[in-house]
Amino acid sequence: MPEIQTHGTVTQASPLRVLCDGATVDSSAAVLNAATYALNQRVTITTRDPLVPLVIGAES
Amino acid sequence: MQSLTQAPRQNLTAAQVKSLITGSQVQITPGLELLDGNNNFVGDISSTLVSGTVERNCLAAIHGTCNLVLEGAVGWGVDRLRPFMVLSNGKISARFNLGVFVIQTPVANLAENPITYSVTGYDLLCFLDVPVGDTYAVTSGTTYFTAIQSIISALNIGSNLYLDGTLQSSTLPNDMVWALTPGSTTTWLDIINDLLGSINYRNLWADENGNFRSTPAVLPSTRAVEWILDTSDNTQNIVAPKRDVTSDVFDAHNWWRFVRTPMTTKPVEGAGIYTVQNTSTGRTSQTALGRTIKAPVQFLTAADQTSLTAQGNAIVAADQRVSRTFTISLDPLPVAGHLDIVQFKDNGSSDICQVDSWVTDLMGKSSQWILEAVNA
Repeated sequence: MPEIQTHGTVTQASPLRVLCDGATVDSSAAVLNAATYALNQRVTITTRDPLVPLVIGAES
Repeated sequence: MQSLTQAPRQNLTAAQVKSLITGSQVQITPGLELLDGNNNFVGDISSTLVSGTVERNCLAAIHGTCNLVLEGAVGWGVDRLRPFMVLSNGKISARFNLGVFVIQTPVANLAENPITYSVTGYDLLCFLDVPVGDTYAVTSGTTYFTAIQSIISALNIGSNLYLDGTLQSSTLPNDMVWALTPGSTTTWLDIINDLLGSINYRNLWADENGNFRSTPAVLPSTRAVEWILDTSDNTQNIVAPKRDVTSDVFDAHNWWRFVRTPMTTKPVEGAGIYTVQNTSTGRTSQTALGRTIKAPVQFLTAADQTSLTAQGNAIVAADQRVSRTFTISLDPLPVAGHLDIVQFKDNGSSDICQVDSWVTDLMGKSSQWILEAVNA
């Protein structure tokens, strides 16, 4: 279960869903410390197949 | 292992089939069939078959391969070929299918007339061993069986899927996501095996007719023996005289810890953690080696603690049994299947073994088998 960091876009704020860059299919996602994100916000994601990806912060 | 009396030899008794396999006055005739995209018979092309072998490495990603020499071209990468053998003693004959393969790497020998093609084929898992190329998600509440069936149906491989029904109602407790990442090499086979592993089923395999199969993972030492190889039984022995046994206790583990993932609460022993110690059993135990040798802690995707324990036990069993392997040559045993269990009797000793790999020569020559002792 290697973890890889990548980038993505929020496709739904609550419950959180993200679209990894390059993908056409979004998925549910988890967050660190109950952070909240807005629709279309650019985010950094840690993937950890086959667990749901983890959003670790917003892109500045 | 294939049943002795399954189709296409269902008209024979088990004793008759066994007598053909172990008999001395038996003629072996190789054959080759062309199949369509649904594994249906198209034509017999046995006349183009010059020679060949069928191999199975049960521990590889794609288990089955064939190496054939053909006197004619087929649709490389598209057409499916099914090698088979017919064993006959002049009174009865039995046919054994040996797998369905897609030919991927033809090498044409232009110096020969007619031109011959040396080709390697892979079993139908090769259609699943391709990158997904996107994020793939299975939502909680979906049954594992439905998730696997959906993938195979969508890929239009044309093979039947036979899953043992024990856990057919089991559903995903959480979403499972294989996210697209830079350099992602996640394959459909990875996803299916992740799903199967979550419910402690064996990795998917393709059988002798190109059907996909999986069953619950059971410790090899507790499975029934499917064939007895007895070097002292001159009437039925098919083991060649040269045979080797390799013993290896280097870096043998005797402590294992498994952690279930995902967990919504802190994993503790018995609820999210499963630790195994081999203090006194066998030649790799803590007592026998005089020290504790820890295996790297493994994080396993498990539906529940039961699955974590079962997956952990399977890993421990696999880790322990690599201490002895037998490399032997066998006359053709065309009922060979996937991870078969055999009893190997040799020089007064008797071992229950899992077959890790085998080779069947279509012309009937003796070929190499590798057995792992599982009764350590």
